Amino acid sequence: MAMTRIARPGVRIAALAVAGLTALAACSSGASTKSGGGNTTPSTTLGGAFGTIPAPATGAQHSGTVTWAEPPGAAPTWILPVVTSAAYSVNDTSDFSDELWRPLYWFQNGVEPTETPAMSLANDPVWSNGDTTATITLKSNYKWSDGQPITSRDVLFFFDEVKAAIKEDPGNWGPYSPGVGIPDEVASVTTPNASTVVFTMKKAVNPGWFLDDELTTVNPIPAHAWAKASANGPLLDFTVPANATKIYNFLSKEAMSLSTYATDPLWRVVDGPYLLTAFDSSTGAFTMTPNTAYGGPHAAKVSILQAVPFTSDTAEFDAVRADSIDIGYLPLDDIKQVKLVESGGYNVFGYPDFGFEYITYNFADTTGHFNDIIGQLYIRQALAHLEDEQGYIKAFFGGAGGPAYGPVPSVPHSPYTPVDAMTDPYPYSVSDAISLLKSHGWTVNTSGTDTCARAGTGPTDCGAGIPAGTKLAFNLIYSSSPAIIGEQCTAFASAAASAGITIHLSTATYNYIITYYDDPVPQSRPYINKWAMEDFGGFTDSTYPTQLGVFNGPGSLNEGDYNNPEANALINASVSGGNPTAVKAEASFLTANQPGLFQPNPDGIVVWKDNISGPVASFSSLTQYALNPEFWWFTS
Amino acid sequence: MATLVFFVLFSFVGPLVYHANLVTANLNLANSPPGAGHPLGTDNEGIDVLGEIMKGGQASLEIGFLSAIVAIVVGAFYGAVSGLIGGILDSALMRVVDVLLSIPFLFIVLIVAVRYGASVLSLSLILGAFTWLVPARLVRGEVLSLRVRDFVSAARLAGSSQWRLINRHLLPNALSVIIVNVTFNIADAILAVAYLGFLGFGLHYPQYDWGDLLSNGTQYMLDGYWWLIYPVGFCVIATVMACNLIGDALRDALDVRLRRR
Repeated sequence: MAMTRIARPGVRIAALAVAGLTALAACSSGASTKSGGGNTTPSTTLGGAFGTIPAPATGAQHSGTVTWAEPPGAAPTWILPVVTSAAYSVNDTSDFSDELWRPLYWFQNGVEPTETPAMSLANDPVWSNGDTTATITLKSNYKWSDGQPITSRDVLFFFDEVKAAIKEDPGNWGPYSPGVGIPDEVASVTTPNASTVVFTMKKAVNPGWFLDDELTTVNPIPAHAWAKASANGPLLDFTVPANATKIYNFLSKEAMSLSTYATDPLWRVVDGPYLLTAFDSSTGAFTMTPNTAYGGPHAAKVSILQAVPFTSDTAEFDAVRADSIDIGYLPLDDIKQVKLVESGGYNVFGYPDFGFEYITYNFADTTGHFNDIIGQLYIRQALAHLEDEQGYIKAFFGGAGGPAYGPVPSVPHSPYTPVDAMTDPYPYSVSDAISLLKSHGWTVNTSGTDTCARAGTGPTDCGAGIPAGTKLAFNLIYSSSPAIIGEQCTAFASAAASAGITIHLSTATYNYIITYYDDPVPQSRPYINKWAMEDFGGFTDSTYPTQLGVFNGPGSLNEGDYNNPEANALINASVSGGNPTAVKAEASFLTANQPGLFQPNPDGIVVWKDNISGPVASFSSLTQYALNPEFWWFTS
Repeated sequence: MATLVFFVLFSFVGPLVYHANLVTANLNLANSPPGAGHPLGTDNEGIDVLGEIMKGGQASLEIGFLSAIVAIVVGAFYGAVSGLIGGILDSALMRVVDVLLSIPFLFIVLIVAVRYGASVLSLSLILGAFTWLVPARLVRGEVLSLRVRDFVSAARLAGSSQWRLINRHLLPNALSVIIVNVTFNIADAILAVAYLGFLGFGLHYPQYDWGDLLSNGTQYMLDGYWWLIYPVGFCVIATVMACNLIGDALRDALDVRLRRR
């Protein structure tokens, strides 16, 4: 499934790519851990973890009201689990509707992007017929809040509603990618009995990809309560496409009525740990009370969740300093205030998001032959040598960040992390960059700008399309916020200047960059020769971290028109072949081939009052945009 | 005046005496406190703060003076024409000014800076294009009172053209207003550049302006890195205050109504 941009990686306003979040079930043992993955001890040798998570308290457990800081701009705007593209973000899913309706598979385990089986509604699919048939068995412990069982028809209902939604407008389902995955590659969904669902594919798919990235987007919804075209209308046969459309229109109309979220009877039938009992449509504040029928793992006494919206990071940080919020976050700019926060009675923990930050190269920009210049691998390698990841983490992130040398970061660790993601293939070295340039026919001028001296296509020439006299000078436009983007770009431009590469820096807003400096977007076409490099932030990786859409030839998110036949073949193999290691090979190639300049990932830093306890992973997963208050309890 | 002269010398002559590498980042020295080799410490890129302030002062002062000149030339002639001709044209010209004054110019400046990039020249022209409005109003007001004076009537009777009236009689007599306004415009432009830099849309590496430096420093406001904030903040305040005081003094000196008899 395609990934989603993030403007502020590591800070809680990122958009969702990992459809399922989550979980933590049996993670209550052990003493304080440095980083707190689910049941495992995450690697700390690679860095990235910031602070500690106390072991779960052993005394009496009390319930109460947990106040959670809702970040600026994170007010929920959509409640229906068939989520629109516009609402496909953590704000509407993992921080809101996932509390009410759980996805079929829950993929988040502390900081690690792996499944927590106890929080999945179904057992893992069993594949047959050459990876074309997936048979899924629902678990019996999960039920709807009105006492009805969750059945295979509820899964089919979701699938049919997704198809009806997409038929009206592809933007009606956020995870939709035309021709790929659910629903386009699914030939049929059948329900042989109440607890079994069978997905039959049109062609063989990669089981790992389909489970991690596709089935995690499936949210069973209550057919027995929602399959109707009006509030008091009769239940309809949703398998009839016309009925499915009527039902979708009704449900989406109700979902647009924010003011009735807490009162609409539809939204009272849930299978998640919470019921929505109050919602302020103007501010996004909401209150959720425990769903006593919830069948998944949770604390003995689940507390009420109260979301408190903030209009700025400063206001949120002030609330933390004033001790007026239970669960919040620490803006990276304020990382030096950790001791102050801790002395105020908070625990602090940070970890990088599973994703990547990068400077996008524009392979289509013909200005100054940039397309031909950046098309040369040695140039991209030289640029990679000019990036001091460890220096950035220390100087700009206050030590709270993890390295990332390719699209799959070093941390958090994933089953799909390739071995070579752990070491920098192009470590910071201005002299190495200069050597690469000199060995390919460039006259290096460290007090000016390098020029191509040997045009040609030989191994010691500048490369195809680069005439003699071409200068290594181009522009880099970076997002004006957050400040760490500018800091990294400035340091990079400085190092480049040391190697005789002139980089002209300028800023633009995040929205301006993704609107006009994004080659696949039609409105960007007139600007295609206006930018050589841009830095808007990055992407969250899907749980199965294929770069489909981002670094394949015609990808809709391929902002710089990177198009490498080998990369295309590897990406295709990741999603369509049965090779479980295909996505590792893809990541390895992209790390070596440098379709963009990969940057370190800053930590998302969360804080919580020290009178709140729970499994370690329930707190560490907050750094991955997963909110699981059902696991928390008050110690006093 | 001495303060302004000091900052002009500090910014333009200082770098000739005090040599700092403002190009190469040294992350190992990031945010170092004042000490040997770096009298005002280093910033988050490990670059010398004193050198940055000097170079930032060049840009801030250049933009201040250039934009003030643009604003005063455009505003003075616009206001003089409007005031001298009067009638419907005067009303129309002044309504244009009213409309433009109602636009929050910082937004326009931000848009233009993003669209076309920020440089000393572009920022000067953009700021000048939006700060001529107040001088235009002031000069118009002055011309309205001057145009009915005897010496203007005499010039008219002698056959002076409108252009000559403006050029030889009205503007010279409105000079006190113009000169005073120049100083305020310089101060305003320096502040506007500081705003832009503060918002991240000022000049970029390897150029510097005081607002950009101040913005960078405020990230570390709670971290005790005072050398990133106070020195450059002092420069902005002192320079703006100096310009304003010079303006006040010039007004006192040039306005005959304020002179002691």
